[in-house]
Order: sequence, then structure tokens, then C-alpha cells
Amino acid sequence: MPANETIRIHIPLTVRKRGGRPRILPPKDIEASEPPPGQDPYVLRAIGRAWAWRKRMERGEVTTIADLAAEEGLSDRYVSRLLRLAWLAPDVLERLVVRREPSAISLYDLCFVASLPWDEQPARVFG
Amino acid sequence: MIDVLAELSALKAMTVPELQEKWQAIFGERAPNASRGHLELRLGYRIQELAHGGLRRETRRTLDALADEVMNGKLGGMVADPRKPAPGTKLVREWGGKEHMVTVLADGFEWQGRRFKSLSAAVRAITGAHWNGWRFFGLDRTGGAR
Repeated sequence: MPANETIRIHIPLTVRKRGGRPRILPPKDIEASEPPPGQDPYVLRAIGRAWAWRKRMERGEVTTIADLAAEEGLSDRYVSRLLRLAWLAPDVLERLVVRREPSAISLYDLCFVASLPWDEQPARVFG
Repeated sequence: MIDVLAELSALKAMTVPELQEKWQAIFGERAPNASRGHLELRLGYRIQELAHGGLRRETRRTLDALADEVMNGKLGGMVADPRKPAPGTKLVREWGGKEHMVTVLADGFEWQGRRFKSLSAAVRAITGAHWNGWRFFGLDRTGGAR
């Protein structure tokens, strides 16, 4: 086919941005570098769960971690790890839950702090 | 006066049957299981509780309220939804060729002077269709933009 017989087909196309791009504008009075105030909701939620489990065990509704785990559909290891949060030193729990001081360590590490003597726990949790 | 540290280190040296015996002595009932970690943790807790005192009543009440809220699945009073940004944050998204701005309030959301309890309700007013409000604004589980 000779070059001058090239058929040109025009397909009108408008590139449409689908959905648009969401933007999040933080309030002016909060500095971008400032950590959000209050306790990490995941830590709070985990402590609340552990506390509910501790109370159930204390009331005798469930006697073993295995029963609790089966009921919740969770693994024994997970339940026994999370349950440790309910046995953190009283002042650590108070600072986390009532005073909402942020934990300096991850939730995972927090679960193992309960094994330490009470007077060593605050330094570990709050740095 | 109890020598707490000595008691705690004694627990570490005990065998599981000895821990169970100690359990019987302290709690006046049979140990619930033979998990070394569990027995040690609980016995250690009780020993320290006797020496230093336990949870204050106020803390206990807060924990009870927190546990109720977490277990009934409706977050709000004690625990904020982790996806929700700080009050005052403006969420902007283009829809139907226009930009829509929703303001995060302490107890809900605002769009064009109307208040909504949930972000999804606000988005329904904007789009007329059911959307997951968090998704519509690209909010992920940590409250940051995706």
C-alpha cells in the first residue's frame, strides 16, 4: 500500500480521571509533625479485649485459655499473648488507659512486659 | 513486709508442680492449668498486688467500660475509630466534576452545613449512592491517606 493511501482513523478520546483524587487537609492547629493526641486505638482495643477476657476467666465463665480461644475462634497462642495485657502493672494500665499516655513500644512487645517486675514496667513501656 | 523480688525470683526457680502448689496456697484453689508462663505471671501478679496494692477502682471502671465497648463492637465513647482523622480535618474529593469537602467533627461529619453521624451517610448525601465513606475518601486503617 502506498504511503499516501494511509487511512487515518480518528477516535475521539477524552481521558477521564476516574473517581478523582481524595485529599486530606489536616486542621490548622495541629502541626504535621506532632503525633496525634491520645492513645493508639489499637492498643486501647487490645487492652479492652484482654480485660474482658480476664474478667470472664475471673468469673469462671471460661476456665482455660484453650476454651476461650475456641470460643473466640482465635489461636491459643494469640489469646494467651493478648491476655497478658490485662496483667500489666496497675500503674502501667492506668497510664495507658486512663491517662492515655502513648506506648513507646509496639503492641506485640507490650504483651510481654507483664512478665517483668512491676517497677521495671513503666520504663519499658513509656521509654 | 514481703520481699517481692525474692518471691518473684523464687517463682522462676520453681517446677510446674511447685508452682501449682503455690497457686493452691495463694488462691486457695487448684491451679487452672500447667502452663508455666501463665502460672508464673498470675502468681507474680498476686504477690506484687499484696505488696503494692492493685488497680484503683477508677482504673478498673475505665477498663470495664473499655471492655464493654470493645466487646459490643461499637467504638465511639472510649476508643475512636482508628480511621477517623482528628476533628477539624477536611476531606476533599472530586465527584461529578465538583469538589466536595467534608469536615470531621468530634462526633460526626459535616457537609454543606449538614451533620452526619457517619462518613458513609455524608457520602450518600453527596453521591446519592451507598459508598463506604472511608474508602470514598481514601482513608486507610491508620487515618492516613492511601
